[in-house]
Amino acid sequence: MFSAETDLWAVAAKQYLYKLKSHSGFALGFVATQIIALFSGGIGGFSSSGSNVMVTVTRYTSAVPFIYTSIWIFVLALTLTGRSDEKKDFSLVANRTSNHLANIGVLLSAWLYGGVGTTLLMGLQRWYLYFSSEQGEVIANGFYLTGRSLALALAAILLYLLLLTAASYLIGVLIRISYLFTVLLPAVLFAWARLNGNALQRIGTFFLREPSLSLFALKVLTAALVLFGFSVLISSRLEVNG
Amino acid sequence: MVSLILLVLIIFLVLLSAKAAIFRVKLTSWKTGAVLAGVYLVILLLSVLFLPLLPSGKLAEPAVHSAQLTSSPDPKVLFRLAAEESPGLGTKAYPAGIYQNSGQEFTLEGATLHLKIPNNGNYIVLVEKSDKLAGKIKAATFVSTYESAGIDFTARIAPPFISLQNNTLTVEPGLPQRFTFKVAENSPFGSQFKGGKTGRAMEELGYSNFSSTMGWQAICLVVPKDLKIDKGNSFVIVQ
Amino acid sequence: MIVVEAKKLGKNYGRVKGGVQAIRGLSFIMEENKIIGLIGRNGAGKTTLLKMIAGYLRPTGGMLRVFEREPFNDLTVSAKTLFVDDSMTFPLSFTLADILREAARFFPGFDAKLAEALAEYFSLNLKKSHHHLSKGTKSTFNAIIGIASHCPLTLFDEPTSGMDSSVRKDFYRALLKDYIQHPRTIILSSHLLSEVEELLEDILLIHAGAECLHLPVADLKEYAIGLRGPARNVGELAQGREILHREEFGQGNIYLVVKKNFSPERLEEARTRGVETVPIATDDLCNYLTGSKGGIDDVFRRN
Repeated sequence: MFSAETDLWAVAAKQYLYKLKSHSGFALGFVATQIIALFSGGIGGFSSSGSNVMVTVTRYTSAVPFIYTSIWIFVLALTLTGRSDEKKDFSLVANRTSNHLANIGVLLSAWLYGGVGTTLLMGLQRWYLYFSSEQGEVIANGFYLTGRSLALALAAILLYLLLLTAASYLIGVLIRISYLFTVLLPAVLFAWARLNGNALQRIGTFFLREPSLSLFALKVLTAALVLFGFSVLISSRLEVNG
Repeated sequence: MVSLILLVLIIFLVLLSAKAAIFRVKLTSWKTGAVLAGVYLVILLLSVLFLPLLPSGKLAEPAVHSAQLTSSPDPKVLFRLAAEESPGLGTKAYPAGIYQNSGQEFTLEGATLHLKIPNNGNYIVLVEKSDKLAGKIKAATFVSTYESAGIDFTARIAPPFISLQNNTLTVEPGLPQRFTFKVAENSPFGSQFKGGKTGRAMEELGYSNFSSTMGWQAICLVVPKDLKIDKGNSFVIVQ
Repeated sequence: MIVVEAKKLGKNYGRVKGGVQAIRGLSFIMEENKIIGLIGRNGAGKTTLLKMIAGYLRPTGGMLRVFEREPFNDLTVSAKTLFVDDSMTFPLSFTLADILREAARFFPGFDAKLAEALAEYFSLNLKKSHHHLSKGTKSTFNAIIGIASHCPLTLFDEPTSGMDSSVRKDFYRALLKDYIQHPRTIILSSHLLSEVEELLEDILLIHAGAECLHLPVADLKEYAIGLRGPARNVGELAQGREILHREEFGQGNIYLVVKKNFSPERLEEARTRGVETVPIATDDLCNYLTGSKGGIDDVFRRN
């Protein structure tokens, strides 16, 4: 009777739903960031002037919403791994692994929602731009979205966001292990950039300069798997806080 | 230095964002959150689906051909224009991206013309002597291509004010102008991939490296052959 | 069947040697389908022990088995164990009704009808958020979850803190009634034995992280005896025995509490010599067992 094993995945699935429901407020936080991104205007106001003519070209891209979304997912990762949440997680049925699986599940749901939302905001952005601008102010090129450009944007945004999500989770887990990492992580990064900037740059180039989408996807998926796996590994023997 | 700022920024971000209330909206019910999240996603979807319904008439169509984009404004062209096609009145588009944005005619009263043109290098002033004109001055102003983000707004450049009084021709700069253009770009993230290039000129160029071309402005005066010209301080090229 | 088994169990907080030793060398066996009281003073290590049983904390020494498994980080143990204390928290966005629904998803034995009936009886508004409850109400709600979950091993850590006395009585009664219908192992920690005494079958008394006593409650009542009378006669009777408590009166009188293993004849004989025998309340006994010798009087005697 006692030795009947409990199904890890079944528990993790229950926990996932539990956490998804309990963090539903984050969805609203996401909407809030999107609205801020929508109204915060374009970036890279490029201007040039000659004699008494001045031209400003403002770009409205997914970059600002993307940055907001990554911060949002970072905060979610920190919240999920935070000490204050831990007691809640273990109040019912849980162990470290099931908790990690549920956390990662919630993060991936947020990732999907955030990624799709960030991409689709391109539509709302254009509506806003259309009605807030004068005649002839908005440039037609690139205004109407094609299925192809949307699909490419979605793929690129999702992949980059996945990388950041996995990295955020690792940071969250490290900080859960010790608060020292809040200072240590940036310090190490800084020192690394100082001492061996090339290596850091190479990591950037590894992702940023990959011209093939499928290869890029492969790189990102592998990196995300490694980051998530490492997060689970290093915290598997932690005691429950609280 | 940049990395130092980055370091401080990261620490700041980590410490503060964890407490950022905006991301964790407190709800009395998780269902409200789920419903609102769904509604928002539907709104986003609809905004994309119905985007083609927006009439394109309000938008600025890029009208620059690559030939014009590459041709840099050249004062020689203006000389040729002034010499070969005596500028007429009004406005007119010329080839090679040159546009006449004003044309006036003045009646002369004396034998000497005094010029009062601000010598600030903004204008090229060309004077052409013609035997077809008697007691009259034709003044035309030209601009070469003004272009930004693929939008040719040469025709929208305001001409300088030119007036003749007591045999003195005065040029005052036109009203200061400010043009704003807004570009809704495709996601910047896609551009790194091979498939991200669509083959269309503007997207190939990449909005990330916008270039603006600020053209030249020129004033062409056609005067009677026997008119004496007092240049004053103005820099004038007489042909 | 043995549900919890500990052998020389130890728990140190802090990595350095000489860190706080919360549990040292605790050995006991808890059997299936019993209500066991975990009694001890504040800081005796009750919560630490319960958290180790629940799998939250990892023992630093000895052996601990729950359902024949190492409980730390074990999903199977977690699925059969529910730890209820006043810091039991739930997400902000959940109403009490939501939490009950969630608990039902996690614990197959959860009795939703019972939970709702109890909530109604204790006049809890199920539409309220767990966060907005007062301390006592929160404890009541947590206790309801503890009862209704019907978990094979339910751990209550000071479940009644903050509850008013009538709610306490009702809670204990509800727990007992439900336990009779659904026998399971329940560990109830408290620093007030008198409150839970009637409920318990066994008690485990711990002091400073070590075991003091582990025996059925019925035996506890017969564990010790108080002797009061002239110092010489009482001292003679108690000679060679462990003195659990000692109080001095004026005029050479003394009150001693010693283990009760006298023959009735000896006691009868002592009575004729002016030694009075007093039954010891279990509560007092626990205090004597876990207190410093001499009690609070000692502090004043020194001055």
